[in-house]
Amino acid sequence: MFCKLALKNVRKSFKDYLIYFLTLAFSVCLFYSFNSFQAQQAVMEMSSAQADIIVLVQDLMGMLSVFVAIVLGFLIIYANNFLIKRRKQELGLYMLLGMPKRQISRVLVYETMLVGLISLVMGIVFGLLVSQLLTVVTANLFEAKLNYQFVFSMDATITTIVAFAVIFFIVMVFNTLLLNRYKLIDLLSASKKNETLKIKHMFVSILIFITALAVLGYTYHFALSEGINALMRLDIIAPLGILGTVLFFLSLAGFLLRFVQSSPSIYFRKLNLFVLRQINASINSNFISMSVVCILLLFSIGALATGTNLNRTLNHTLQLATPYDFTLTTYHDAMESDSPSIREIRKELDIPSDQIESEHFITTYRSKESLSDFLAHCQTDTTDTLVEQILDMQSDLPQGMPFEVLSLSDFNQLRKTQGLAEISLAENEGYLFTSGDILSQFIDSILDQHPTIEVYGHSIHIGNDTFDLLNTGTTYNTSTVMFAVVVNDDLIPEDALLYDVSWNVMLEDGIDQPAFSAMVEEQWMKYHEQRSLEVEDSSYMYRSASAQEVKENSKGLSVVMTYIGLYLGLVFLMASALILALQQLSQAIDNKQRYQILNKIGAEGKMLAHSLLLQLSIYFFMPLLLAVVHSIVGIQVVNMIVLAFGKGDIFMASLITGSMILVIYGIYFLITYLGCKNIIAKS
Amino acid sequence: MAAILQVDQIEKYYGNKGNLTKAIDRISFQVDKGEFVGIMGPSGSGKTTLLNCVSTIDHVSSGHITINGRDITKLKKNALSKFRREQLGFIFQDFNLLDTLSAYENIALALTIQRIKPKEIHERILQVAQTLDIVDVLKKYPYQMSGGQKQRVASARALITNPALILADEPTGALDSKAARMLLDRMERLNEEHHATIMMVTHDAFTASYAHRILFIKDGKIFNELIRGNDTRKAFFNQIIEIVTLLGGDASNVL
Repeated sequence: MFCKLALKNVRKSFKDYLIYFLTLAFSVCLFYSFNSFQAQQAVMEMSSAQADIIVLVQDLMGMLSVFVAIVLGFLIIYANNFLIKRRKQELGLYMLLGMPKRQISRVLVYETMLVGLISLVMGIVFGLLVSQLLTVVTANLFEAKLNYQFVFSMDATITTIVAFAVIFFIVMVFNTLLLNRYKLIDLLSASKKNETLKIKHMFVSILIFITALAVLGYTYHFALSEGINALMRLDIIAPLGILGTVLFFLSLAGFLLRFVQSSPSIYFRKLNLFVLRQINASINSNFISMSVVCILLLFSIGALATGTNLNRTLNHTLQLATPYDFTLTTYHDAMESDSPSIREIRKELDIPSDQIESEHFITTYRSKESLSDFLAHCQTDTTDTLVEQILDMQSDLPQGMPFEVLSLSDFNQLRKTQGLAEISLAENEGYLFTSGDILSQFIDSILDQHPTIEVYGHSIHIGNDTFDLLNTGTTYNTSTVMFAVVVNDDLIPEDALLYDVSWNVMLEDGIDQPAFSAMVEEQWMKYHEQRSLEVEDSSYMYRSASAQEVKENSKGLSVVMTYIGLYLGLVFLMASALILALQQLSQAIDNKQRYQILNKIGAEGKMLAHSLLLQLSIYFFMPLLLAVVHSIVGIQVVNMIVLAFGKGDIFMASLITGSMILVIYGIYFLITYLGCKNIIAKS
Repeated sequence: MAAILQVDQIEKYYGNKGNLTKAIDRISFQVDKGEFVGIMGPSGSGKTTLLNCVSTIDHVSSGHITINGRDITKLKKNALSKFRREQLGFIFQDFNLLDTLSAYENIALALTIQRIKPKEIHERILQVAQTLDIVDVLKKYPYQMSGGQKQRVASARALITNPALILADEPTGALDSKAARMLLDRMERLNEEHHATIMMVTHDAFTASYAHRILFIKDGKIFNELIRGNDTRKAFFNQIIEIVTLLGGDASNVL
């Protein structure tokens, strides 16, 4: 009997339940998809390093899922509360008819179970489909071969069922508690409660609005001028940004009202004045949620954009970072010039020569002159934060931060092995280049001037108009040199200080790169042990990298980042859309009477629908708009940081992010609109 | 005089075949231009249903209602809204003002949905506000106004579109006697000076005594009709009371 009642209730209030269903199914789908990575391994050809990354992703997602489950739990309880509130009168009727609370909560429990079960099944079905898609994405990210077959993850299914069973159980307990607190009179007269109206002075709104804009403007300016440092200054940027956002939404309605009022032909047009007043009246209960939604959306956009952008950025840079199969570089300090470089140690290492196809050494020297001297010869803007930071880096050295000097023969060696034409230099001519995107613009601006600078006491004229991005070896970092000047070999004095020496190796076909790398490492250790040398200290260090390791490492990083970004981004996006949707739906119920009045005085259905659409659009798209503005600034800043990894394709990332947001946000907007319209039409 | 409202043999059923309730049972009457007609009847007599049908909020089951020469039973939904905002004005028992809007804006709304220019809106509001003596409350919000002021603002909203017919549903129902008297005085003046045609539903005999003609409804039928003619309001009131007493029940109802 109770089952039947529950079933009928769900069917009857299907339209009310729609948003609840959607949220549940969507949550389950996300949860399942992002927990199913382990199963993807089965259909992909991966190296062991990649398999390790999949395990890492799986573990990370598992940890994130705990956080996500908590967020989803809160969202579901929030949505459930909304439903119970809508049905207060119905519950009151049960009580009035003499149904004990115990039985009513039984009906509610059955209903929750029913809805939960349906959405769980639907969610997992959708999750299965989405996880197929994710498998393709993963394969794509890894550039791994895909032996496609249907992927099903038992683990993910069990995790999902357990997580949501717990959430549903909490919802049931919550419903029972809620029900016990209700008094019959409150339930029956639930619809008669009025909200108190506070009408603020208009000029206060305008004042706050201007303050909000000023605060936001200052924050943007601050963040942009801090540039790469912005992340360190989050303690200032975040509170200011939040303050600005909150003030913005606090005063938005008042400002809009005042603004539109100044044009009577718009204000006194159809239902415009009603819509504006309506928004203004409920802003007190809405500005907090709008601010929260705006900030959630910012997170979401940030996470999605980073997730989709980083991968592309890395792919682009990877080619540049792995010109050789294997590179070992020794870095040398300015103070101690006697530490052995790889050039000397190489002879002592016992490495089978049949594995090596070709090898060479590249030496970069420390300039005697400082970088700031160099830059003093150019009329360029050194207040650029990045350049300023570089200048600061070794400010403790008496001669300041040096720049790199390469000999022409080494440089041509690099160019030849990397498939570029050799260059030649006239007497006292230099060639300036860098190996990372991050400084390329700045270098270009120097090249325009063709300055004459001092290198080891010689006046060197920088002759090249353009340059090729070029690394001195395979590296985990994306760039090996910052400001490098190539000069004729004879200009470099015998006693020039070493910066670093790279040993670049191309291996014979079929030689396993990681194994080779491990062998060199072992030899390296042995060499140092035999001579009881420190392998590394503050003044002397080395790095070795094989192309394969660098690639896998970087792919791994991008896979992890992409999925974290997608997962969190989608959850935040859904959370923000749901908060708005529920709030607008419950307000539509409160506003039913107002629409009734409008209908009675002769506003036709189309006009009402139009005003509803306008109102909802403002609620939904104002936070989105501000979040987009925030994130444009944010992405500018992040880009300065991401540039350190190489140049990304912002357009593609924005396109993907934008379409994901539009689809999910749009679905919620549509459902809210239809739901509100339905509520209003019922009157 | 020309008939503004012509009600012709209308019927309104509720329920289905097995269980049919006749809320209105073949009622016919007409209201001429400039008339002030009252509709009285006990609870459940069908007077609110009648008003809803006339005001195009509800549909009749059969029969015709003609307002200002147009048969509203044949109009489509959107045309009805248009008709409603152009030809009818409403005054409700619970005022039905929008609490988020100032008095001025509440009145303006009736015109903005007719897409009338803001300049004209302003002039017309000032004019009607003077007639109803609410110039000094125009800037106030409903929660800052007394019941009488609210009802006069609602009346201004009903009046400002120059409707062919003003429909008032228990307009004094939520007012104290002083405010009620003031409102009725204003309505009388509207009727006399501005020749507004008013149809008012009430079960209060005092309120009804302001009308020129009263239709009494019982069990969905017109039970009696009372015309004030040249009587004073006091004499008319006494006549009404007599009929109301009669309406309360025939001798046959008392066992």
